[in-house]
Parts: sequence; C-alpha cells; structure tokens
Amino acid sequence: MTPDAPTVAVSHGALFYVAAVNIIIWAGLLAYLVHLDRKVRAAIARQSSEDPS
Amino acid sequence: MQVLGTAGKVVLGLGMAVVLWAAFLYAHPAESFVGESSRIVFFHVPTAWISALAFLLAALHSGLYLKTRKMERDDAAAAAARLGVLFCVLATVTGSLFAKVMWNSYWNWDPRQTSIVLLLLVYGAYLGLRQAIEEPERRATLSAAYALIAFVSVPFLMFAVPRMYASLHPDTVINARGRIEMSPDIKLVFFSSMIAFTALFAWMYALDVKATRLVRRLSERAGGFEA
Amino acid sequence: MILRAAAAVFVKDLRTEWRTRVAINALLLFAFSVLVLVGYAVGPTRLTLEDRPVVNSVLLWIVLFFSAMTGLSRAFVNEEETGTAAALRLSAPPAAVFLGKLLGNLALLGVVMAVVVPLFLALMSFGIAAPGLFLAVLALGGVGIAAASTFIAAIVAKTAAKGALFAVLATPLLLPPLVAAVTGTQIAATQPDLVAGLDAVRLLFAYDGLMVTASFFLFDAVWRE
Repeated sequence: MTPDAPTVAVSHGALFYVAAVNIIIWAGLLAYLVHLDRKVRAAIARQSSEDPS
Repeated sequence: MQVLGTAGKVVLGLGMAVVLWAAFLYAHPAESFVGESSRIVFFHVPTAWISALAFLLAALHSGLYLKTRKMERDDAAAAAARLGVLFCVLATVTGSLFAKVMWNSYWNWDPRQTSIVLLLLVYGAYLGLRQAIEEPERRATLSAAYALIAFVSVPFLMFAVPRMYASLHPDTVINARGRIEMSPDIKLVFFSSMIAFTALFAWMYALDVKATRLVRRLSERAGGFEA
Repeated sequence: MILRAAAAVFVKDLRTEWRTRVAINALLLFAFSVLVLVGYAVGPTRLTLEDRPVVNSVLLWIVLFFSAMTGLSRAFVNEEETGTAAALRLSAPPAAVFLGKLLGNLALLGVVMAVVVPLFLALMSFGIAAPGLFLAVLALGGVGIAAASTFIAAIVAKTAAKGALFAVLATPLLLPPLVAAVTGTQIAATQPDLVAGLDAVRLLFAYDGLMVTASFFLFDAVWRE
C-alpha cells in the first residue's frame, strides 16, 4: 500500500450503504447459483426415476 | 467437461478478493459524493454493464437461433436473458441504495431509475413468454422473435427517454465530453472491478448454458416437454 | 404485388368485421366506459389549473392504451381460433399478411381515437394550445401502438394463454412511445410553439420507424411457426 493511500480512518459516512450493496450483490449471485444447482438436480432426479438404466 | 478448472476458479476468487479489498481500502472516496458512497460505483456500475452485456448476448443468440434453428442457440439466449434480469435487479437495488445516500430517497423516478425498471419489465415479459409455451421449438422461435423486437426498444429506454428529462444520475463512465473523469486510483480499481465482474459473469453464463442444455437433453430423452 | 395482397387482407378483415361489428363495438364501449369513469372520478374542475395538462395527458393515453390492449389482439387470435390462419398462410405472403393486419389495427385504433379524443377534450375541458403538434403526437403514437400490438398479437396467437399474455408482452414494449406521447401531449396542451414538442415527435418517429421495420422482418418467423 502506498503511504498516502487512505485507510478507513477518514469518514465512515455511508459506509453502511456500501456494505449493504455488497451483501445484496453477493447474496443475489449465490441465490442464483443455488437455484441453478437445484434445477439440474431436479431434472436428474426426475430422469433417473423415470428410467432406471 | 468442467466450465472452469480449479486454477481458473482460484484466479477468479483471488482477483475478486483483491478488487473487494481495493474498493474498500485502496481507492480514495471521490469528491462531491456523500461520505464513502462513491465506493458504490465499483459494484453498481459493473452489475449494470453486465446486464447490458447479457441482454446483448440474448438478442445475438436469438437472432442466430432464427437463422440456424439450433436449440443450443435457444439455451444460450435463455441463459443470457435470465442472468441479464438477475444483474438488472441487482443494479436496480444497488442504484436505489445509492439514491438513498445521495438524494435521501430510495426512489425518485429519476429517468435512469425509470428506464431500468422498464428494462426489467421487458425481459420479465420475455421469461414469462418462455414459461407460457410448452413445445420447445415453438417456444424457441416465438421467444427469439420477442427478444429481438424487445431489443429494438432498449435504445429508447437506455438513451432516448433519459435524455428527454433532466437526470440527477452522475455522468456515465465516459461523460458527454467524451472523457473519463476519475482520479487514477479510482480508475484503476474501477476497471479491475469491471474485468473481475465480467469474468465472474462469463463463468456463471457458461455454467447456466451448460445446465440448461443438460436439463433440455434430459427432458428430450424422457420424451416430455417439461423443464 | 405485396401491397395488393396486403390490401386484399385488409379488405377481407374489414368485410368480416363489418358483418358483425363485434370488435369495434366492444372497443368503443370499453373506451367509453373508461372515459365515463375517468370523467366522473376526476372531472374537469377537481384539478388545479397547473395540474391539468399533466394529469389529462396521462389519462388520455391510459384510455387509448387500455382500449388498444383489449381490442388489438383479435387480429391474429381470431384467425387461429376459427382455424382460418392456415388458409391465410397458403393464400397470402407473410409480408402482405402483416401489412394487412397492421392496416386493420391502425384503422380500428383510428376510429377509437376519432371518437375518444374529442369526447375526452370536451368532458375534461382539456384545452390544446398547439393542435398541429397534438395531431402529430396522436398519429405517431397510434402507429407505434398499432405496430407493436400487431406483432405481439401474432406471437400471442400461437400460445395457450392468449389474452393474459398479450398485455404482459405488449406493455413494456409500448412504454417508451407512451412516455413520449404523454410528454408531447402535455407540451401541446401548454405551449403554442410547435418547436417545443420536437423532441417527443422525433422520438415517436424513430420508434415507429424501428418498430414497423423490425416487426415486418421478424413476422416471417412467427407466422410460419
């Protein structure tokens, strides 16, 4: 880190919102991946129950 | 076949971690923004950019479907539209949080907010159309036609209508004077973030296309139209 | 050749419509009911003078928009339901079918506008400062609504849930021209200067051009499906 790079000391104003933005984005992306995973699993389960080969 | 190997996943994860660190601790807060709120730009703008990219991909693959009639194109278009809606929702919500910080209200019908909601409606309707048609080929054709006609209205939502009304939204990255006005540290973090999010999107997109194709093949083999 | 076939489709639709007059009667009755509701609920005097141009422009386009959503899907839904679509597919080229149906919807919307707009102006004491601009906005907005509706009707006719889907698919497509039309109407109501509404007119014009061309070329794929 360069010496004049700021640390969190300056002002904490609105930092809460920046954190909230991050949480929402990562929760959204995770939820999507989970949804995708469940969709594939459901399709595989339906397939193997219909045809046991 | 894996979409992204272990090495790729490690690089993507580490890159994202560095971007997150830099966004919070390296970049200076920009002037003329309330407190630390300018850091939102490192997350909000990439989500908006990716939703635009995804809708472009959806239109592209829809056009190619109508040309080639290959179901793979339909899988790709559907996956792109779904991811586009996801990132569009994220861009809307994060933008609304930014509005709360800057203008002290979550929603004030700023032209940008209006146009992004209209965009959500357009692609929400596209996904609704897909759900309403059972037969795969008919679904592919009709939704491709809708995706292309919808894409015609996107420029109006993104550029023409917002121009007609004064907006409080900060200049888009490259402003009307054709220049990028960011301090060097912010610029560095911003473009790294754009690259990292685009890579993340590329991975998710490949994953979704593969999953969609798998689900379609499974239901084809079962002889049904469900899924 | 195509134009002649399009005219034939248009005339055929006019004849069928003239026999029963179901579509036009339903549309006019619906538009009139909404008009009465709006007139009774809002009325000319309940609004302050400076609110009138905004609220009246929005209400006028809401009435027109809802009328379009109830009536304009018939163009193709009817053909598929009565099973005449197959015959039409054999007897006319797709481009002609699209143009003919577009003309039919334009005519239908034109009749509705010719009845609704003067009534609305009278019932709401809605004064227009720039009649030329107002007519231009009405015409261009009408073309945009008719073009998008005709194409969406062709898509919706091929699905199971026809009526419900029509509004869902058409509304987001129609929002940009409706926003421009509302703004244009508002300007026409307040400013006698024609140039003030140029932006709205230009936007509507661009939308109409793009929408008509795009749906004209995409129609082929939908119609043959």
